[in-house]
Formats: sequence, structure tokens, C-alpha cells
Amino acid sequence: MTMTRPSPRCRKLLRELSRYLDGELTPTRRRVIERHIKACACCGMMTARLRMTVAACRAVGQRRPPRAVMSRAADRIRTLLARP
Amino acid sequence: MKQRMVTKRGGDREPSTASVHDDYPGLVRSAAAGDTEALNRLLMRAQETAWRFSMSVCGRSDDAEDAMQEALIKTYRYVGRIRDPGAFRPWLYRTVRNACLMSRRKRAGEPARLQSLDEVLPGSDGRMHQDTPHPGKDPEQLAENAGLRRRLRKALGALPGPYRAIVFLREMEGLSTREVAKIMKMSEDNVKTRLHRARVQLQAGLEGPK
Repeated sequence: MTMTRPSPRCRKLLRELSRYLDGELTPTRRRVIERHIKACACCGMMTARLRMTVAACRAVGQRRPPRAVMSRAADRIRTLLARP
Repeated sequence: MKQRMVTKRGGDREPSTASVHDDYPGLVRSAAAGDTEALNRLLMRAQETAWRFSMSVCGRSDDAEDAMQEALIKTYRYVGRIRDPGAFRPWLYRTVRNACLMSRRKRAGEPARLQSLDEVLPGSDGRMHQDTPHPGKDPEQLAENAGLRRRLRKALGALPGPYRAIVFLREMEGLSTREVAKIMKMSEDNVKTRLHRARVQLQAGLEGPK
């Protein structure tokens, strides 16, 4: 798909893209964005990429510390709870 | 308050590895009511949260250990005094954020060290990142995932600190915009605007040179 430079109208809509992806727009505004991204290849592509970025961020979240760090954390709890 | 970690069978054991899906308000309520198992899980989880925040946002392992200690002590001291268990999580992140800021101030005279998120964000197995083979998985997919993680870590590292904190809290820890606003001491609109800018920067970073 050939990308074109976003028009001023596209740029205005793109500023709302995160709110659109997060479901924070009013139904009316959401429909406006949806119509636009279906009709505009540039914004459609931008939406897909931003959605992928958000998904990638969420995928790397909720990591666990390494085992050595967890072990030290457990030791700290033992020490704390053993205090008189 | 002196407590020991006791299993139902009565023996000492390792403190529980908190599940990322543990319910914080429930743990806080149970711990405040004297449930030692819940207290152990809460203390462990508070330290895990502190580690993730400080490694992802501050990026120094020595700061992370300080932040974990701070989170542990403060959670232990205040768990019985927290009136609204639902407010615990934002309180914890504020505590950790303050610990990180204090550590940064202490190091103000030291030369700046550009953190490498490669070394601070663990891989999909929860260990520190290393591109070692994973038996039984599609090598092409692994390579692609590892490449994506690497690019994402790099892009995260290039974000301004407050943007990185917002991405971390909102995307990785799943806090609401309102909770992030409280922690970051800014308006919800400001959080949304910064989150959008951060996402656009991250996207550019992900699509940059591999």
C-alpha cells in the first residue's frame, strides 16, 4: 500500500487515535474516526501500526524479576518479619 | 508485629511468588486482618512491582534494590492503616516513584549513565534478556519476537522519563488513566496526550533500523 503524507485533517484525527484505540471517544467521534480510517489508506496504516505498538508494549509488561532478585526479596521479607 | 511464613501444614516455606493477577485490594484487606499468607504475598508483590517500575523507568539495578526495600518497609508499616484498599496500588507506585527520584537526586553528582533497557528488561521467560535458544519453539518466531523486544526496549529507552513512566504504568502495569494521573500528579488529559505522543515515538522506534 502506498503511503501518502497525512493531510491537515488526517493529522487532526491522528491526534485522537490513542483515545480511539483506548475506547475513550464518544460514539459519534468514534464513528467519524472509523469512517475516516476505512477511507484513508494513510490513516488506516497508521492505526494498524499504533495498535501493534500498543500490543507489543502490553506483551512485554508484567515481567518477573530474575530468580536472584526474587530470592533477595524473599530474604528481606524473612528478615523483616523475624524482627522482634 | 512478628509473623512467620507458615503453610497450612505448619512448616516454614519460601514466601509466595505473587501472581501478577493477584487482587491487590483483596490482599491488602486480608493482610490488614492478620492473614500472614496474604501479607507475604503482598510484600513480595510490592517488591516485584518496585523492581519492574524502577528497572523500566529508572534503569539501575542498585536503585531497583533500594526501591524494593522502600516498598517492602512502607507496605509493611502502612498496610494496617490504609483506609481504602483500592488506593493501595497507586500509593505503591507513588512510593516507588519517589524512591527512584530520591536515588536519582543522591546520584546527581555522578556522571549520567544512559541506561540500557536491554539489560534491565527481562525476556519472555522472566529472566534478564538474553537471546538464547528456546527448545521446542519456532526459531523464526523466536527470532522475530526477540527482535521486536529488542527494538521495543531501545525505543522505550529513548523516551523522555515521564513518557516512559506513563507507558509503563498504563500499558505494562494496566493502570487506568485516572490512577496514572494521580501517580504522576498531572491531569488525565495530560496523561492521555503524553501517552499518545509516547506511542507515536515508540512506533517510530519500532519501525526504525533493525
